[in-house]
Amino acid sequence: MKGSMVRLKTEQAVTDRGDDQGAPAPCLDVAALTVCGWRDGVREPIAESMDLRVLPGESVAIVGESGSGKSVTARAVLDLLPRGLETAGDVQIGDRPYLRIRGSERRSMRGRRVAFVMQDPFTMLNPLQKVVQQVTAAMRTPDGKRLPRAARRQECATRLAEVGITDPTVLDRYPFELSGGLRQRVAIATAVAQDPEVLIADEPTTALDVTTQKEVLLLLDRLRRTHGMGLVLITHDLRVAFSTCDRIYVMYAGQIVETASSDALRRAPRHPYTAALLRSEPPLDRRLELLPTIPGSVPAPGSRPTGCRFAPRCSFAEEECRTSPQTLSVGASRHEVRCRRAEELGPQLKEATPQAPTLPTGSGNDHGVRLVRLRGARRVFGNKVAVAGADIDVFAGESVGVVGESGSGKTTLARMIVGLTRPNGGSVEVGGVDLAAASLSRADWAAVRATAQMAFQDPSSTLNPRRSVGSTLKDGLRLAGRTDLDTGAAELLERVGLTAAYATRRPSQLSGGERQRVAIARALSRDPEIVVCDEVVSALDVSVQALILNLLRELQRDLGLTYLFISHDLAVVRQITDRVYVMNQGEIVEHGLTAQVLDDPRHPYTRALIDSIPTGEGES
Amino acid sequence: MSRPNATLATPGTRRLRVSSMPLSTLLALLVLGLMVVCALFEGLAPQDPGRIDAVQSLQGPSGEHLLGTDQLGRDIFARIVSGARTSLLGPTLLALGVAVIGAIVAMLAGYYGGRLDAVVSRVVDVLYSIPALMVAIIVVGVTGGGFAITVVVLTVFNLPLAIRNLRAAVMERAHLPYMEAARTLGMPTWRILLTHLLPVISPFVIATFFLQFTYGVVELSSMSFLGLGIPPGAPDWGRMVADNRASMYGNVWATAAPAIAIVLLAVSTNLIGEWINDRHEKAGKAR
Repeated sequence: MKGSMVRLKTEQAVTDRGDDQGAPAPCLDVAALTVCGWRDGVREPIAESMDLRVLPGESVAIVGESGSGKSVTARAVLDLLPRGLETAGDVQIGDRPYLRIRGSERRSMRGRRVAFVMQDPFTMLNPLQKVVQQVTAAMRTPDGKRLPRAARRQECATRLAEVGITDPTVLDRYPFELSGGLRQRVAIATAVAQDPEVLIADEPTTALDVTTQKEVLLLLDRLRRTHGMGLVLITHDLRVAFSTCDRIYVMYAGQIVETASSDALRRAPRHPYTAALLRSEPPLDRRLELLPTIPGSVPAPGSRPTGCRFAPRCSFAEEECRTSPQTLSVGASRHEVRCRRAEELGPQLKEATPQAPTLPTGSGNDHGVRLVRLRGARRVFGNKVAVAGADIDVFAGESVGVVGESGSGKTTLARMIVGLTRPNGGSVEVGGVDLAAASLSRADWAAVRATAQMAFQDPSSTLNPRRSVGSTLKDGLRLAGRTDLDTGAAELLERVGLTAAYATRRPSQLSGGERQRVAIARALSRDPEIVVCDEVVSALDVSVQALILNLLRELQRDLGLTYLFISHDLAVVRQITDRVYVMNQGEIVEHGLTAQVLDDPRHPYTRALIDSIPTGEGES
Repeated sequence: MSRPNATLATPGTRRLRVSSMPLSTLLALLVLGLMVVCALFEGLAPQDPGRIDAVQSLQGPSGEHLLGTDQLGRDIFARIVSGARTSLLGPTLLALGVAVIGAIVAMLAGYYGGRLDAVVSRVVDVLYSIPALMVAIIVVGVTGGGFAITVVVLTVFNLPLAIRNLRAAVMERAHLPYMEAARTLGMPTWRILLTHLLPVISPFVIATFFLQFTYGVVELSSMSFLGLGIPPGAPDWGRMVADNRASMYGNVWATAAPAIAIVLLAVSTNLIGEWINDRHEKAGKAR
């Protein structure tokens, strides 16, 4: 009873506001929003003159690589910026000039009229509060009192049902007792608990597995329709944006470079950046000879070029592009582009979208030297079985993928092979040494280290921030018995596409892609036969991801390397592996040639995995 | 490839600039510097700190005796200057011992974990439950005392807290991805501990040193005050406070001056420790 009273109140509010005639008024109208930071006493714009309109029931995506300013924009809209950043411009939410009203009023609007879902469902919920408390925390009866206990539970159950959680025991659980997907659902339930007009979701699915990602995206889409809510989805993933959103804003280096309806943008991007971004997404259904990339990296605030921001990386840039700043031009059906050559490039960009030469996916090589041989390898943590008996073979010269979602045991598997985690049972033979043996001699370890090396997922934490690139590489060279350390380090750096000058730099001075190159160089410093790549590209932007994948292929060709490639991303696996093992809950459920497994999956789990990938075809 | 953060200063090349120090740190450095000079060079005292002159006993400050004299007519200022040596040496040795041994034990226990960690933790718990000062008094009392024994006993009993704190710092950082990367390269454990782990926990080791120094000043002074540790007659600030407190009404400076010296020493080392910590934190943030 009480629960329905709450909803009645908000419904009333909605009808009160819907007093305009004809075209619906936008529920979120952002005009000339600029966010500035300070560095060394100089004002640096991070996001500039953002214009954004969201109609009730419309979904809008802000897409951009890291460093584009998309998250800062989202937070500025909500007035949730960290200290030290300044905002200028206007934000209108419903009928209220959100940034011009008193702080207390703004606070009361947050949650009630505009809500926020963050990327990481692990940190967004209070670990010390049960679900029921979090979801109903801000709910009030019409006279402003807290809901009575029974009504809270009732209301929470309805809200959870709305996000697809029907299990009543979830109410009394703590966030850490829930899986990532469930947590994100609870977070969404909390955000929409008061029927806001606008929901801003900052990378809501990035931390989730593909299968859960699809469910959460569908859920957001459904809530937007049923609640008539405006949805702003911040994402780096164009496929996610296409599959859920009506309208897309592409951001680059603090500016909107292109905005259009989802369909128009997918069919005919008019900004070279958008086109390049679209192309650098690796396709799932074929293997490209060379993945298209965008050279360079997103410029940091403060070192952004004066002319067109994208000019230094643009293959169509002319002299004038570099000198004069570009403005957003209005095109047909609100397709706006920030490029002076948009008209003439149009058809060219449209054509440039795919049809790059493809390669047959490799057929593997299961008759060479066997480098890694796992038989019934097991690893248990407490009472949790991470890997429940895996049989894997890797032969010299091939590239083998291990695919699975988080918790599937693929990382534990990788760690067992490089000797970071000792197996509990079975055998894990690497370079002829069984790592499951009770004791290993120094010589055994040396053999393992010289055979298998690892490249890690997060390039920023896998390099010691206090040590220069050179000294990191020399560690490995020294252990490999090299004496000409300086030349060795220079060689390694050139191998991975950097220059010898990088040896004196520190990780903080490198971009994400450069760091990952250094991390790969470190793995190569011991001159291994097999490199275990644990999610090496998942923390990188698409354009950088393509660069690293191309590099890995080149290294394989030149050095005859063998890869064991751990990934959750099937499209990436398609590009780099010959054979693939699919893991689910500690077990290998399917294996075979990559092309066969991806094109004709046998196991239902593999099929589900492939089906949940957003195709970018606009499923709505 | 372009360098994204061209404006970022290279960490490690930062210069120590006096103008960038806060005033409190400068003052603390000045005070501590003076004390160190007094401790290092014998014979800086304007008069013989041991000369007894019964006629001049318990005089107030004057031109001849800057801070007056004690009951035996010894010059207070001279005794403070020459007392700097024992008063600084004890806490320094104590703090050094605690920080170094604490860091080694904590790194081994925290990095290896398992049985070693369990044993260390239990020993620490047991030691922790025994009051250090009491044991020190008993041991020193039984063995007849002496400066060295006092310092060793206090070191042992101050270790538990340091090990506990440092171990927590190690546990949080012992398995950073770059240390695992070093392990896969095949780097020996001792090298990982030295090149990767020690630098990340060094702010905590430095903090431990300075904190322990301050504790040490007070603890050793307390021991001297009780007549343990420093042989009678030798000039030492804690001892002076103790010896002269009976004659407080004769010459208040005989007690107050060494007490103030102790406070100044404790406060200034603490300020310097804090400043070093700040610098370290900023350096850590420049990633």
